[in-house]
Amino acid sequence: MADKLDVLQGTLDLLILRTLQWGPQHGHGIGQAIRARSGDLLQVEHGSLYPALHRLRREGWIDSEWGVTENNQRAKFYRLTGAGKRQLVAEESKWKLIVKTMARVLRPQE
Amino acid sequence: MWRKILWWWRRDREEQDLDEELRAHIAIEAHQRLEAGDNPEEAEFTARRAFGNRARIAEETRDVWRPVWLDQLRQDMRYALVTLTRNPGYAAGAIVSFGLGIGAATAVFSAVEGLVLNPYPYSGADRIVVMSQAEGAGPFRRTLLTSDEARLLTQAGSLDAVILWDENWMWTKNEGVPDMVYAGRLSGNVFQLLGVPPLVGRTFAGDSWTSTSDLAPVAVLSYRYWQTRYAGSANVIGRTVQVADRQHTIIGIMPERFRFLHADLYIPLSSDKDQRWTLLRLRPGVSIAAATAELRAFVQQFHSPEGRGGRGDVRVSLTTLRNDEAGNLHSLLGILLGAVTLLLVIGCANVSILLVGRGIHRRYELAVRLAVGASQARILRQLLTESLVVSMAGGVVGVAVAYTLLAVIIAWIPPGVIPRDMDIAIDVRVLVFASVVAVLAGLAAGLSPALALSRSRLSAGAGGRSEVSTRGTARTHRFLTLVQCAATVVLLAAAGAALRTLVALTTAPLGYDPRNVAVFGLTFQGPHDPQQTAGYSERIKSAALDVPGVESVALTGPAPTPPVEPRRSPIEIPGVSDGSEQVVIAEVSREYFSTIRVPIRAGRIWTDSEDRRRAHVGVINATMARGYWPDGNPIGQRVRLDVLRNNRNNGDGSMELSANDQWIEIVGVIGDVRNDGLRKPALPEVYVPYTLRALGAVLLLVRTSGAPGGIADELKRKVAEVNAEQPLMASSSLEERLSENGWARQRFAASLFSACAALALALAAVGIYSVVECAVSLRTREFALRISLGASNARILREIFTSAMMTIALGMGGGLSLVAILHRPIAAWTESSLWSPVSLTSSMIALAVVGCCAVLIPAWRAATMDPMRILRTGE
Repeated sequence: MADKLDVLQGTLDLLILRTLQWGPQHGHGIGQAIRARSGDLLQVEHGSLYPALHRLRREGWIDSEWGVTENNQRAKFYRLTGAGKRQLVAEESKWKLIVKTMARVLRPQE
Repeated sequence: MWRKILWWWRRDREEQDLDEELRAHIAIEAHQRLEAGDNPEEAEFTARRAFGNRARIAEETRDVWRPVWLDQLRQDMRYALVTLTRNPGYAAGAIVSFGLGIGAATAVFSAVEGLVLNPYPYSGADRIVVMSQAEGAGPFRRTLLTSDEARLLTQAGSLDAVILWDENWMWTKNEGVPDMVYAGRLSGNVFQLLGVPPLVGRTFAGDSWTSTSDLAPVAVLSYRYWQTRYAGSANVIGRTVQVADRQHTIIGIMPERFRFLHADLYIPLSSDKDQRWTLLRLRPGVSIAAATAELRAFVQQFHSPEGRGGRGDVRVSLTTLRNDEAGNLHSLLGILLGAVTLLLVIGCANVSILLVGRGIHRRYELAVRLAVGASQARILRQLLTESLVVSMAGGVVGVAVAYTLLAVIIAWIPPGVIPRDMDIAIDVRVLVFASVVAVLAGLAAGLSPALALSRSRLSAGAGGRSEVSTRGTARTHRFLTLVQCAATVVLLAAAGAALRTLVALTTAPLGYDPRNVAVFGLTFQGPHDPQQTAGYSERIKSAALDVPGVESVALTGPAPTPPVEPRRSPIEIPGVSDGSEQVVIAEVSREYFSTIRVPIRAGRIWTDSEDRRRAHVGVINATMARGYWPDGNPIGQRVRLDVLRNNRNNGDGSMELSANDQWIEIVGVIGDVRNDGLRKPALPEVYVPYTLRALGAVLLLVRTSGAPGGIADELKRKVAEVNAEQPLMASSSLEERLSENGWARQRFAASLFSACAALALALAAVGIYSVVECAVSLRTREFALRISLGASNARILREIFTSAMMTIALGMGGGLSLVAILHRPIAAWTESSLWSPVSLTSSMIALAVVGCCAVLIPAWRAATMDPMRILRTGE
């Protein structure tokens, strides 16, 4: 159980950082963006999203600011910090390595 | 870590922020659904449902922020504050108990810190030593050195420096008005040795005690004198101040903390053959033992036949300045520290009692919480947090108490009890001490009640009045009462001992009658030719006799019971003593004995004309007569006094009197006067006519027919008629001086211990009251039932009373055994033994009476209650 959670957590962080690369976004928007980009395959639980956002903020990878949506609604917008951008690069290459390794391990024998 | 704590402080705002953020999320979702075509209510509702449990999500997010324990601590503290404000009586009792205990401990600690741990502003203070010496089997006395001896001593390899000084009231002129100034005359290396830079200007320097030439007439002011006489004016440097017959140029001002000798100003000491006070500084790394061995050889040399003569059997002792000056305080402070520790124990026991008592009412609550899953550790932590909150509040109160207590105590400290250059204040170290004590006290007081309560089980507690819980509580309570009573007995015994010492002191036979004698200080404006001084003093004396109400007037060098060590001189008695022994010497006018009413035992006092023509006669005290002529008659014997050798003025250096001038003839024997403090028996003493020595300052003793208060103004007028330039220091009466110098220290100690004991008694009374009150409230229903079934009120009263008094009696027994154990090890520190039937009995009675009252109030209430009302309402 704990292992699975860890993997999910790491992935969620990467997803959030990646989503914020396109610009500041609020919690609702991030959830929607992930869902949309994954073709509705990835459903982000709110109970995971908000703790993750606050954790990332504590790490200093993202920053938050109150702002107004295009529909004129108040919302808290998160944006990537410099450290966050570096972290994203690191996470991405780590993820690629995992995918490559997993793929190699899982490749059917010739 | 810091960020986490910061988070924690900003927590409320953050929480609100998070809440808003989540609401905003739902609002956006709802808006989108609305746009997708849902109707408003439905959109709102689905948005909420889709979001999930907002409180749980908020909770999980919050967990990211900060460690859980910090949050729980906050909860516990908030809860503790709420319970405290709901029970103001309990809170006040606990905080005051803690506050008094911690306050007393803090005040005493700051005294210990100021007097023992860190007393001096001087550099290398731990290497500055005081030298004492003893001849033969005699007692150790401070060594006095002449300039020549000091110069010889500097050759000792273990010494860094030798300083000499002299302190005296001297004549000065303040804005044209004659005045007196307390001057320290210092050898030139004193400032260098003490290493305190001047606040303004410079200090004088050099080995001036080795030179015989005239010194530059300069003066360095103390901070206090600069403030009082010159109002802290910036341009005093370069101005002159008259000291005795010379104008001294002010060259510097010392900082406030520099209070060497507590003098008004410091002027250079000229070198002559007089003996001076001395301090030595050891070279770094030299041990006291090594230095003692080396210096012994030097001091022996001073006493060799070509020196002052003597048997050469000299012992030398070196003490660090700190131990020397604070040495007599160590015992007082040690015992005081013990006393306040006991006080703190009593205070903690009180809080424990209150905590246990209050815990009984909370058993149900705690049992329920344990039953629904709170861990014992969690409950324990919460209860400890509560007692810590109380003890911290107590600590704050305690520091405030200590602050006021210290102010009061310092104002009360009689002069001479604390070395003059020490400082007592509440500083950072004292505050750290107070906080540590507060935490420890909180843990000590809270631990056992918390442990007991955290084991509450629903089965035991849910009924509210289980027999099991009551018995456990009663046991804890009985133990705490026992501890309190035992500690109180010890404190009462200590106060009793201090009081007995005081009584012994104030009733000690002085050998003279100090009542109705006014004392005035008289300084002569230098160069004093003894002959001239004699004539002048006679005129002052007869002027004083003209004042109405004056019965007799006398002049004396030293006070009858000097506040410091009596002045001594080596004495040579042909066939009896060869000059290695010393006797106390006093220069007095012949009326001295009749004025303070010292009885004549044999022979006569010298006559008026002998006084005036400076006859070489003297009177000795009974101790001396017994000691040196146990079988013979001292009258008519001749003795040689070393102190009379140097019979010339400091400044002019003109004539050295012949050796013959040192011999005096004993003409009379008088009764013993306490001349070595009030505690010790009189030392051998020789009284000589004051005209034999040139004295810069004398005391004018004036016996009046009534109280001596009113004569000062008239006396001043009369003296001004003789010489308008003559300053006269209006001092107090002889009795007041005695009380200041001799009794005050003991009175001070006695009042401190009495205050501790009274406080202990009060705290113990509160403790006993709370215990009985709690026991009674637990058994209210039982008593009501029994009364309604026919038990008499008296029986109930007796039952409560006996069980409580049994505990108190047991505590007294414990206290007695404690005193029995303690009185031997601390006997060396106290002058009166703790183990005295009188003070122990009165301590017991005091505690018993107070205990009785504390028990009777709640017991009476229980015995006289209305049983039907209790049984009906259940409370």
